[in-house]
Amino acid sequence: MSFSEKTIGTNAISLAMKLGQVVYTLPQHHYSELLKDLFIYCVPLYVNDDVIGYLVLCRLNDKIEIELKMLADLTAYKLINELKQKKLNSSLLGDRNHNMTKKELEILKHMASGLPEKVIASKLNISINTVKYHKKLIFKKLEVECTAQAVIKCMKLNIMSISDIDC
Amino acid sequence: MTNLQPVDEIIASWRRCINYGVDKSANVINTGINEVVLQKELSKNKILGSIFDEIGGDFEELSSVKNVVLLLINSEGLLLKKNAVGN
Repeated sequence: MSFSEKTIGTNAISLAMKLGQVVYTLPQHHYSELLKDLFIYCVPLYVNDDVIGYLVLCRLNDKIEIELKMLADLTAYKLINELKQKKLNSSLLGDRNHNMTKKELEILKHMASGLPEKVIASKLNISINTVKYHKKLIFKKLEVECTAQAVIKCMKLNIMSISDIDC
Repeated sequence: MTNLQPVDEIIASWRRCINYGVDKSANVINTGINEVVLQKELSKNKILGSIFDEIGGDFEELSSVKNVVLLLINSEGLLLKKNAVGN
C-alpha cells in the first residue's frame, strides 16, 4: 500500500514527505473517504539529513493525545539510534574483515575472563592445541599480538562488551 | 515550534488531488505496487524493519492507549510493516 498523494490523496505521510517535518492530520484533512475516520501522526526518520522512512501512528475515531505523540517521537528516536548503531557495528566488522566465528568469540570471552588455555579447552571440550590454533586465528584477524590487545580491540569494535566477561 | 497541521499545504494538496483525478470515494486502494517491488523494498530496509519489530513491543508496554497502529513507511510512502498495539 502506498501513502503517496497521487494514490490515496492528502494524508499525514504525503504531507510529511513534501515538508520533511512531523505532521498530524485529523479525519477532515484527508482527501480520501478511506481515511475519513483516522487520526494520523507521522514522524520522518532522519539519518544524516536524509529521510530514510517514516514512523506513523494511526488511531481510529480518537484523537492522538500529546502523550502518544511524545511516545511516537521517542520511538522514532530510538529506531534511528539503533539503526545507526547496527550499521556502525556491521561496517566495522565488515570493512576491516574481522569476521570472527562463534567459536573464536567464545574462546576470546574465556581468554578475557583470565582462564588459562587448559581450562578453556576443558570447558569447550576441545584439545589445548585447538585452543592455541583458534587464538592464533583471533590474533591474526584482529591484527594484535596478545590477549589484552585482542580484548581491548574487540571492545572498541563493539564485538564484545564488559558484560560478556565473567570475572 | 513546528506547525503539525500545515493548513496551507493541506489545501494545496487537496487542489493537487483534484487535478490528479484522485478518486475521493474509492473503497479499495489501487496501489499499482506488485509483490516484487514490495519484497525488494523490504529487503533494502531489512535492518530498519527488524528494529521496528523489536520496538513495537516496547511501545505497547509504555502506552496506556491500546487502539493504535504503528506503521513503518519507506521514503517513497510505501507501507513496509505494521504493528497493532492492543486491540
